Amino acid sequence: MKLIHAKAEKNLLVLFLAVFITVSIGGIVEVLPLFTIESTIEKVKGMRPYTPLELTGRNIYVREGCYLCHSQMIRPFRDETERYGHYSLAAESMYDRPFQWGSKRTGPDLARVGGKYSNDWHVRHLINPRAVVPESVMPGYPHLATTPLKVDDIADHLKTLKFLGDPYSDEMIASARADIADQATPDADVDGLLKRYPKAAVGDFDGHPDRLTEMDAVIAYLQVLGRMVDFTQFDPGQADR
Amino acid sequence: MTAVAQTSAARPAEPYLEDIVKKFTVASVFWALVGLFVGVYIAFQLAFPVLNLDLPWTTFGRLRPLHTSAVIFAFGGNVLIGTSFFVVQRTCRASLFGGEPLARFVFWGYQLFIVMAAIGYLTGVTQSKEYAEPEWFVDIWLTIVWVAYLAVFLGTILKREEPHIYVANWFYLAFIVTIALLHVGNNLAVPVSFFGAKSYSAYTGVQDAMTQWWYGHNAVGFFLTAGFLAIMYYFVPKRAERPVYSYRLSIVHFWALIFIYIWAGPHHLHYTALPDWAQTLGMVFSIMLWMPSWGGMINGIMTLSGAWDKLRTDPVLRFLVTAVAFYGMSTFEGPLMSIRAVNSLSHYTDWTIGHVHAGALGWVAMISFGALYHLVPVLWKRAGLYSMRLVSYHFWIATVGIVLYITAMWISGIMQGLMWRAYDEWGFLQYSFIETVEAMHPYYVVRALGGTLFLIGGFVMAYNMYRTVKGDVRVEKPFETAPQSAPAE
Amino acid sequence: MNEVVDFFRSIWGLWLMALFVGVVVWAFWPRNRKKFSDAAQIPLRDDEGEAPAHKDKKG
Repeated sequence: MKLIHAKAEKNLLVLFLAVFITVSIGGIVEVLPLFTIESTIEKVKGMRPYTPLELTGRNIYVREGCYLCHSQMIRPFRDETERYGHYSLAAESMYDRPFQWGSKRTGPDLARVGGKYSNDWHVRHLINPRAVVPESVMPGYPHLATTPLKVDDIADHLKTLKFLGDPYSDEMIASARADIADQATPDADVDGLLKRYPKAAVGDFDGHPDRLTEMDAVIAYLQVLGRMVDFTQFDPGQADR
Repeated sequence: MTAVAQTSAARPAEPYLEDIVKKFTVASVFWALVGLFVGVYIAFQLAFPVLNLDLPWTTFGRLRPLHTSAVIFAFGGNVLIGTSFFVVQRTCRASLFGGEPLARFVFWGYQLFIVMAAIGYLTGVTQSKEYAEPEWFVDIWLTIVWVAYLAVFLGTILKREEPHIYVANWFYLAFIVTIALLHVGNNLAVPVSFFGAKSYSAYTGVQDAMTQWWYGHNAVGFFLTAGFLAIMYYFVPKRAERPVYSYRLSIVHFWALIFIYIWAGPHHLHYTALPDWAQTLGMVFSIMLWMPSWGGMINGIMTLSGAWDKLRTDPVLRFLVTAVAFYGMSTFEGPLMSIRAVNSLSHYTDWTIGHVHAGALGWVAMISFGALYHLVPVLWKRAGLYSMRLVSYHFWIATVGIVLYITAMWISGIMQGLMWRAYDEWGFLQYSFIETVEAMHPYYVVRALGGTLFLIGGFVMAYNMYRTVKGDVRVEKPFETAPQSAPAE
Repeated sequence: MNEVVDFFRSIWGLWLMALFVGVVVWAFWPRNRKKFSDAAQIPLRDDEGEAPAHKDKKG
């Protein structure tokens, strides 16, 4: 009896280890190299970390599960590049934690939605999509316009991202609180902000210059999507993927 | 060692713990109804957006993860853990390791995980990684529960009376081990503060995408496939009252399946910014996956060879076998869709949704229903179910629901894919995006109706089980040639 | 880290083959036939090992 059990336990150990090794190999060979191989992400000009306001907006985008209906990944097909713009580069989501490529397009791809519509259009669309696109099946988000933006812990967010390896400088972290307000305030002094985050869109986003709402943040994020890399300067051969 | 020797010497062993399996059974039925209901609701939302109600916590974006998690992790998870506790005890002829307290911790711990995750989704606490939405603190809690689950499972096998470890337990073990690996690997994140829910993923962009679909696809492969194949390998032979068609094939099936599945993830990222070598690897393995999948399907279905009449006389077995047939169908469709050329059309469309539901409703839910129908009379010591006719009604309602669902999604998916890439005679894109949305409307209505039928079937099942537990027997014309002797008792 | 990854990158094909051939040989080895047909019966005879408490209630 004892003998049988000794053998049986050996069987379980062999089974356990064989299963473990077998299911580990795929991940080790297929996933890990992406972290080490240089060519995974192209070298492109223009990518910068999100401004505090864009980051907050992105977190709202993540919170609302927008990725369930909107992809952010344009594939290299003629119809997609004509509909949405240049195909997406790996580098363009290098500061995306988590990635938001999505898996379903119930609505259109948003990888390059930045600059396509006015702030005012976005406000009206987010409050009631059917006010501007009658056939839309998107939910309305009227509460974004009335919910004040939570800004007090923004420096902690930047610190966390810096810890994970994103290039937020101490200066960026120190001025995060001010930057978040300045970006959404018309006529604010934004020289420092624009130096830290080149080409950031500034001004009032939600149509209410006196208020800083979640709407401001979401639209600031939507307006930067796909706008960082300057494709007039991009040479696919050079980037080599 | 001595402890083991003692238990083996001290026959009779402790009784099987069945109370805990009862708990999981009840939870399975409950979460099935919740998950299916939310699914039907969001299906109607896509057809009639006014149902989003303009409230933050009722939008599609927040309810959809609630639906997927409720059906996969709440319903599917409870079925898997519950049946694994039942099967491992019986096939090892040993009671659960850790006894009632540890098993109860796994049960209540798992329910707590589900509730924490669900409340998170509704209130916007989410990582927004598909099928891995719960935030870091919920993830940590699940890890603790999962380790306890693994301990119960391994410990029970360790103290078994049966020298051989039955193949169903291999599948359960692979499911438990791999899900642990995937869960920890994919959810590595750093919280912003110790007292806040928000965290940032340890990975960015393309690496995050690959890690996520390594997780996502193998959640399908090991949660929704390996785990439920374990159910197949126990409940189909049990119900058919004959051993599995080929035990040797089941061994080959097991190793081939777990080795190949783990590589298939990148087919979710065809034509994206993921490097081509990874995409190609993913495609090749996805196509290879077709072989072990069908090996398993044949093994399951052929178990009935020589007893095909039972399909007519036992609707519970019909659930089990139809599930295996749907498994065959979706594991054929899957490799097909992983071919890059096909994927370029199907990706981002409803075809994917249809494919998932062929697997989720046809395979996962139906084999679960079959197993639950088998379990309830055994666990509650009844001679049989309250009504076999109701089982048969449930079967047909559910099947019609699935057919409506899948065909609607095939049509809308392929149509959508074709409309996106259609050009007019002047070389311009023929349709604006919103025109394609509009064209989906009728199919979304049909899909929602299909889902409604499936939900109704779920209620029929719940009623049938409730009456069975109460000890009632419905006065009805005996089913065909009388139900094949209700199992066990 | 790199060495580990490289090692597995070079070895995985071999592991796949070894695993597959090993499993097939083991599964179809003539002497194992009886063992596996016995194992296939496990779910069907599990009620014999029915928990004693059970039996007591019944009897």
